[in-house]
Parts: sequence; structure tokens; C-alpha cells
Amino acid sequence: MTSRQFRRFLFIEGFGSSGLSFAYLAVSDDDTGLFAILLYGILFLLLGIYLFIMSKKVFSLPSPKSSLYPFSFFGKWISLFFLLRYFINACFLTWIFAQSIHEIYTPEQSTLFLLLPLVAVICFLSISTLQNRGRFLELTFLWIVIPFLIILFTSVLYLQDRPAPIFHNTLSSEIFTKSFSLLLCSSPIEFLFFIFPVTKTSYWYSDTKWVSVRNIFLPIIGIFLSNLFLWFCTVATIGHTLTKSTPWSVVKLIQLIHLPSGFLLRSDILLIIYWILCMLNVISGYLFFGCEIFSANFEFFQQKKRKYFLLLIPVLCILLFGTNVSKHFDKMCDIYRCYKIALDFPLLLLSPVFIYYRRKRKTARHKKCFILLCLCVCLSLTGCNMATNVEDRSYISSMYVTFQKNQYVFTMAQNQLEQEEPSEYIPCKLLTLSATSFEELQKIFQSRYSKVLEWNHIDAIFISDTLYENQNKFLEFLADWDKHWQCSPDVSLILTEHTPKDIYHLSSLPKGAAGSECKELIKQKSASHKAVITTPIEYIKSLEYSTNQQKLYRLFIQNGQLVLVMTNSLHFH
Amino acid sequence: MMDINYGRDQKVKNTLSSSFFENKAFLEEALKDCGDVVKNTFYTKNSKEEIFVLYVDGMADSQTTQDFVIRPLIKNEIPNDLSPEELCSYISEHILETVDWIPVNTYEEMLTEILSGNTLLLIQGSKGGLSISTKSFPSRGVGETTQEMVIRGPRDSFTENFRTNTALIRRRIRDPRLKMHHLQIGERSKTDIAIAYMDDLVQPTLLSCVKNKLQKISLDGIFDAGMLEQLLEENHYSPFPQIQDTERPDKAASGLLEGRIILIVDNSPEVLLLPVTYAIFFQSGDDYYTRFLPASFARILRFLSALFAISFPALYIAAAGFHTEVLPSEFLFAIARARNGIAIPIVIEVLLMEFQFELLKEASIHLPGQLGGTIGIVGGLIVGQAAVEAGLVSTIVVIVVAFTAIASFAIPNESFASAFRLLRFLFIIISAIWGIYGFALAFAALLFHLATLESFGIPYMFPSVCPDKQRSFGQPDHYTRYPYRYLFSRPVFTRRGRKIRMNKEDNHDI
Repeated sequence: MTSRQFRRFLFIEGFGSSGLSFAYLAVSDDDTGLFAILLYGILFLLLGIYLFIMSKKVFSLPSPKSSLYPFSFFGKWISLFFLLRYFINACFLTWIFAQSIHEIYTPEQSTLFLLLPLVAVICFLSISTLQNRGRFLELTFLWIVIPFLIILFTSVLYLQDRPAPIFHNTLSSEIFTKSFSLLLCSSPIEFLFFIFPVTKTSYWYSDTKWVSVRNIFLPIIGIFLSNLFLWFCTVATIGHTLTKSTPWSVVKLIQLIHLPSGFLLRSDILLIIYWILCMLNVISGYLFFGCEIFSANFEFFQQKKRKYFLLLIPVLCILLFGTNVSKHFDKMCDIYRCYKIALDFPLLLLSPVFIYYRRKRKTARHKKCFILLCLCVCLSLTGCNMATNVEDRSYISSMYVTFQKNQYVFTMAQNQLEQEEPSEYIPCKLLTLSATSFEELQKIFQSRYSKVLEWNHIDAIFISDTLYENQNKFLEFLADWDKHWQCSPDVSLILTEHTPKDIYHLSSLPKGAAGSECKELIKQKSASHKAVITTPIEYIKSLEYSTNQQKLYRLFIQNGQLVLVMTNSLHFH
Repeated sequence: MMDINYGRDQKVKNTLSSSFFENKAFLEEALKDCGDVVKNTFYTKNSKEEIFVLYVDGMADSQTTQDFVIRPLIKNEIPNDLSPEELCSYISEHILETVDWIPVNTYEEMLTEILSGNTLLLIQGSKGGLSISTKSFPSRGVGETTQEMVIRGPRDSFTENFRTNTALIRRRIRDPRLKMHHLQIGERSKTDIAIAYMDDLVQPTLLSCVKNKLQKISLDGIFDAGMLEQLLEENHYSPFPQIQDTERPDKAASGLLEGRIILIVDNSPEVLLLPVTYAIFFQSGDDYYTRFLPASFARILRFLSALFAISFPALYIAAAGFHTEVLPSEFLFAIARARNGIAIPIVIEVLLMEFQFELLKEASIHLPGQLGGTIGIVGGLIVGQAAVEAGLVSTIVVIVVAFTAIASFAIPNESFASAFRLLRFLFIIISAIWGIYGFALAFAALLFHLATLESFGIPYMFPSVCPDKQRSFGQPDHYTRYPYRYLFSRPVFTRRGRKIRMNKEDNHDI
């Protein structure tokens, strides 16, 4: 493979899979995503450096050079892993690609019908040699870059009249999540690891190491800049709200721009050929490398005809599940994202290290180090996936619960962290929801507000007399509360005859601050009122002693002030 | 009666006898019932040696045989004390009035020489025989090119005569380093083939590869360069030619100076040039005889016309059938108005017109020259117009097909252009089923196929696909033609170390 083929190969594979959705993944409701992209650039560069170094290290190790080099380097087990990984990637990308075409261009044709020619073409592109593949990508490079440049150029012309604000950025922890998602889009850059050793100007063939370094970094910078420009043009042309509204926001951009002199009413159909070529290259790349690595290590599959049999696995998967793609597209995208984060990307990082240690002399220390490394990478990346950012949670400071018409009515004082400057009381927003149980309340909240309710920092739960008198429902609520590990065990239970409106709209207190005020009051009285039950656990525990009376605090409002009184409340059995 | 044994390679396996009469009997038996073969015996002046003469009437020049071979043998006396070896050399060196002779020592050689138009002398008392060159085939003279027409530049073209063709090349390159290696291919036809190359420019590996391939060919007969071309190609299923054919001697000579190899096939009015890249098929003869600007413009036009020829009808079908949103309103309404009242779908309409066009082309090839023009008028004007008036096809489709046809004829090489014409049908059908999406997939598959094609080790898509840095020499003569003073390096085919064809400094002093 020549240097030019190598550079173009990397560019197309790295840029290919993010072609349409890069801008969509970068922006959020209140952020255009510039910082996320910049961070992505850094991470991407680091990934490139890592793969470059590992490729250099691994393939410098002594090995018999055969016609199957460098794929014969891997060993049977690793090649099987690569095969599975790459086939899964190819299947998902094929579905996503076909569904995108179906949704955008040919809604009248079924996804399965679109998959048929696609599968035929990617199989045709996949059974080849590395040299032929390099030539193909070298040839398609201009067919990708020219339409892409036309898109950028015409969209810049369009911007002259109506540019949308673009530098609307906030620094938040979401940046890392987004930039990681962007990095996943460019993960086919991992092919660098295999093709670098067979490039004629790679490090050990060339006298000047800067040639190989340049060959690595030119495409990496090219991919980053292309993505950056595409993001800029998309966000500046259609604004970040529209960019966020659809995964195919780049198509929206191309729809808006017109070729000079009104040659075509909509030029997106012709210009989108760059994305189609990119996707074909990426998908066939996964299948090609999967097959090549596997067949190089399993002699039985080295014949060309048998490689076709190998390809039957992903082809059958694609076609068998192809009919369901339309129905479960969002779910499928989520599964693919999870797969990329939890399995594919960690393996991308770990495989070169594993191959390196496998080829080197294996010592017990090496093995231990490798296992530790595996655990660290897998767990940290998997953990990152499950993590919910601190700002993405909804903090409840206090809650008023009553029971009406066979339903609990929850009035929650939700902390508004982003609104005001820090002060003694955090401003709150009141939110009222009805549910048959506490568990249902959380589900309803998540479905409506796409945030996770946080109960660990709640100060007080105001129980209405109506609920308290209906002891079954009251106990049911307390049991539900107690059942959840993420609900604060120290929350104060306070009885009240007042309505939420009375409690939360006091003139003497900021809106919704009643909970924290009550907590302060309880704290002050705790020394003198030791027998008072203040938490759900204490209340449930007191029932075990069969005492007829539990002492709870009752809230009154006197002269616009909150007053807590210790009451001998009746317990109903 | 002697049995004649033919081997699996169709060559005579009998060994030459030391007896003159046995050899004579064998040849008479081998050429029995061949009415065009002249077989006769005569004696030298002292009536001591019997000489058996054989030649094919019509292929050999009988007058030459009479004047320069038979008459001197009859008139001159041969010394008595000559051994069998000396007898043959005495006759050839002292009696025959020609220098174009070779000794032949096997039956196979003898028969081949006779059937190639030479005269065979079998002399009593000598070992083997003498073959004297007396070839005189019926052939037409050097005519004008019929396929690769030019406005400016030489008009002569190759003929079916092997020797005329080699002479046409030799006339242009008077360099002793121009070598012509002769061999015969075809087990029964024994067709003469010449491998012409510049000894110092050709890549040795390429030359040996071509020679090996030619020697491995085992076929009854080769009757044209087209047959040899198909036998030598690496990818037999590709619609694209992997060897260039030309009927222009100047193109062949120019190819030689680029380090390429020429195969001259007897009985073929065209020669083969190899290796080849796709860009060469877009070069026309007069690109090098006109100024660089019009030449470059014409070349770019040809590239675009190839793209147009393959994609225009398919894109029209995709846009009109699936993606009407692409078309500007006025144009869309014009198409809709034009299609009003036409019952058949767009794809059938286009295919119908394309088939009609291909039929016309095929018919005009096989019709006598005088009728060729008539069929064009009948097809183009009458059938086209009648089809529109009958409501069979719309005017837009006629325009689309006509534009495409013109574009496909702008490609200078016929066998290369026919690949585009063929693939056009594939693109039409795929676009009719899957729209632009199908078109893009088919286009990707085509690019892949082209990227994987090779012509004798050279990537077909060079310089779009560049094998290595060294080979990117000669870029100024691919998509465009630079002025001559920049064409100082030879293209990719040339042997390393011989890439420079023009002294750059001297040239700038002109």
C-alpha cells in the first residue's frame, strides 16, 4: 500500500461512519457543542497516537512474513473476537444505513428491499485483497471529497444571508459524554493498526520516520477538520435546535443549500453520494478485515469461496432482522451505542495490547498486568455509560403527599440549581404529579422530563391528614420509600393540615423552601424532643413495639411563619 | 506409404530421414490432395542431383522461384566431391541468387515453411532442405484509418499484411534498439506474431511475462488481434479492455517509445499495445499533433462524456421515477407534459429507445457502406419522430438517448466505449428499481471493479490509483496534455532509470 492509499484509507474509514450524524451528536438543547468537538479532537488524536505506537510495537516483533501478513499475527482466539466484533459492527451499520435511506429518500420501499442490493454490493467489496482495497479507497476518495467540499462551499454561501448563532457553549460534564460519542463514530480509525505495517513508507521501511508520522497525522487532522467544518456549517445554517431534532441533520443542511443558478431544486440527493460511498467503505471495511483476520488464522477459510461462506453469517443476520429495523430503530441505535461503549471500544483499546503481550514472551506478571488493564478499561468505560451526570438529576428538597381519588398526589419542590446565584435557600419549582404508587411516580417523572429523580437530598415529607388517616395507604407509601435504597433514610416526616399552596408560598420564605426550613427547626428541637419520630424508618420501627401512639411533628402556619409542634398522633391498626 | 504422426500440439512428430526419397515420399504424402501446392522434381546441370521443389501457388511468388532459384540451379554445375553438408551450403552460397533463405531440418519446419508461402528445396545427397523466402500474399495496400480518425496527423493504417505492419513501425523508429521477436501461435493456423519493443525501455519482467503468456497459448487458430487480446487478458469477465488495440502506426510507435510492448498479429489490421491504463483510452491520435490547450480541452470533454454516457439515462430515470423533488419546477412540469398520454413507464421508454439505438448501430455496421447512412436517417429521423408522434416515447427521452449516444461516441476507443454502452443498461435497470440509492451502489461497485483491474501489473486506474511514488511520473499526459516542454518524463510503463525522454535544460533553451 502506498502512502497516498494509506492516508486516503484512514480518512475515509475515520470520517465515513460519522458523515451524517456528527453534528447531531455534538449539539444538545442548550449547547452547540464546540467544546465537545474540541475535546473529541484531542481524544481522537490520542487514539491515533496510541494505535500508531501499538502498531509499531506489535509489528516490530519478529514474525515469519507470509502472504497473509499482518493478519496472520493475531492467533485463533483473537481473530475470532475480531470477526465477531467486526461482523456486529457491520450488521448494525448496515441496518442504520438502510433505515436512513428508507427514511430520507425512499420511504415507499421497505428496508428489507433496500438491504438486498446493499448486501450484494458490500459482499462484492469485501472479498478482496488489502492492495485492492487500498486502491478502491484511493479511487473513491475524490468522489467523496468533491461532493463534500461542494456542500461546505455552498452552505458557506448560504450563510451570507442568515447565519445562526453558533458559539453558544456551556462548559459542563456532558461535554465528555458527547465527545466520547463522537469518538465512537470515528472508531474505524482502528484499521490503522493493521494497515500501517504494510504501508511502504511505514516506519521500518522508510529512512525518514517523519514520513510515517506525517502519514498518520494528516488523515487524523483531516478527519477532525472535516467533522468540525461539517458541524460548523450545519449548526450555523440550520441552528442547533434543528440540528438536535434529527440524526440526519446534515441532510437538512444539504436540502437548504442550492447549487448555483438553480440547477437542481434539491441537490441533496446527488451530493449525498459522498455519505453513501463512505458508509459502503466502512461497512465493507469491517467485513473485509473481519474475514481476512479470521481466515488468515484458520486455514480452512483461506479459500475465496469459503470466505463467501463466512460472509453468509452477517448477511443472514442483516436480512433476517432487516424487517424489524424500521419498527425498533431507536432501540437498535441505543443497543448499538451500548455495544460500542461496553464492548467494542474497550476491545479496540485492549486488542493491540493483548496481541503485543501474546507475541512477546508471556510471563505471569504480564498476564496479571493485562487482566488488570482489561478490567480497568472495561469497567471504567462501562461505568461511564451508566453514569448520569450530576446536572442531569432532578433534586427534590421536600415533598407534600396526599391521597385523593384513589391516587397519591405528590407536590414536589424541585431545586432550580441553574437559575440563581448561590444563597441560603435554593430556589425551587413546584411540580404536582399523581400516581398510584411512589414507584409509578418515578416512572412518570422520567418519561416526562427525561431526568432521574434524586431522593437522597430531600429534607422533609409533608404528610397530609387525609393520607395519614388512611393508614394503609400511608404505610404503603412508607414501605415503598423504605424499599428504595436511593431514598434518604433521614428525611423528616411532618404531618400537616395545610395545603401545599399554604406551605410553599409563604411570604417569609422563598418559594418551596419550606422543607429546608422545617429541617432547620427539627434540628433546633432535636435536643429537647428526643422521643419524637422524625423519619420513615423510625415510624415503621415503632409499629413493631405495638405502641398505640407515635409522636410526630405537626406543621402549623402562624403569622406567616412555620411552626412545628410535637403531637401525640393516633396510630390506627 | 508413410504414416504421419501428429502430436497433441498438432505438430508432426516424424523425424527427418537420411534418405532423400523417403523425405520426398513423406512430403508428398503430407501434402496429398492439396491442389494449390506445387510439387515437382528437376535436376542440376550435370543431371546428378535430383531436387524436389515445393511451394503453395498464390502464396509464393513463382516468378522469383523460377528466376532466382530454379534457373541458376539448372544452369550451374555442382562439383562432384562435396559431402552432404557441403552440398547444401555450396548451393545456397554459390548458386542461389537470393540471400533470404534458411536451412530446415525437421518435417514440421519444412511443412510450416511451405505453408507460410516460402519455397522448399529438397536436394538429393544433402541433409535437410532449404527454405527460400518467396512470400507473396494477396493483400490490400496501406489505407486510411477507418476507426481512429484524426483532423491533423498521419492517416495511414495497419493492414492485414504482417510484414507491411512491421515495416510501418520500423519506418517510424529507425533505432536498432527496436526489437521484433517473431513467433507462431495457433496449433493449426501457425499465425505469425511479432513482439515489438524498445530493448532499453521495456521492463524486462513485463517482456518475459508477455513471452511466457504467448507461449502458453494453445488454440487451433488465431485469426485476429482481437482473439489474442482476449486470450492474454487477466480478468476475462470484465467489460473493460485490458489491452489497447490500434490501427494507427503512429500510436503504436509512440507506445513503443513509452516502454510498452506491441503485438503484431498476421492477418489483423490492428496491433495490440500493452500494458494499458484507462486514461490511455481517452487519448486520441491528434492530441499530440494539435496545440496543448485544445488537446487538453478535448481530453477533459472525453472524460466527462464517458461519465455522461454511463449515468445520464439512469439519473433521468431515478429523478423522474423516484426523486422528482430534485428537478426544478419548470423542468419537472415540462417532463410531465411531455409524458402526457404515454402509456409505458419511463424505464421501458428509455430501454426501448436505447435498444433501438443499439439496433441501428448494429444494423449500420453490417450493411454495405452505401446503405449505412440511409439506416442512420431512417432510424434517427423517421423511427424517432414516428415513435414520438405515435405516443410511444416522449421527446425528452429522445433527447436523453441522443445525448447519451453522442457522448458514448466521443470516447476514441471503440472497445472501451462499448463497455460503457453495456454498463449503461445495468445502471438503467438498477436506477429503475432503487433510484439514486441503487445508482450509487452500482457506481461504487463499478469503482471497486475498476480499482482491482490490472493490465500486466499496472493498475488500470493509474494515475487515480498510484502504485508508488516513482510511478507517478508522466502525470502531465493523463487528464490533460501539458505543453511538450513539460513532457520530459516517460510514463509508468518505462523501465526504471530510463524515465527521462527529454533533456529539460536543452529544451528550455529552444
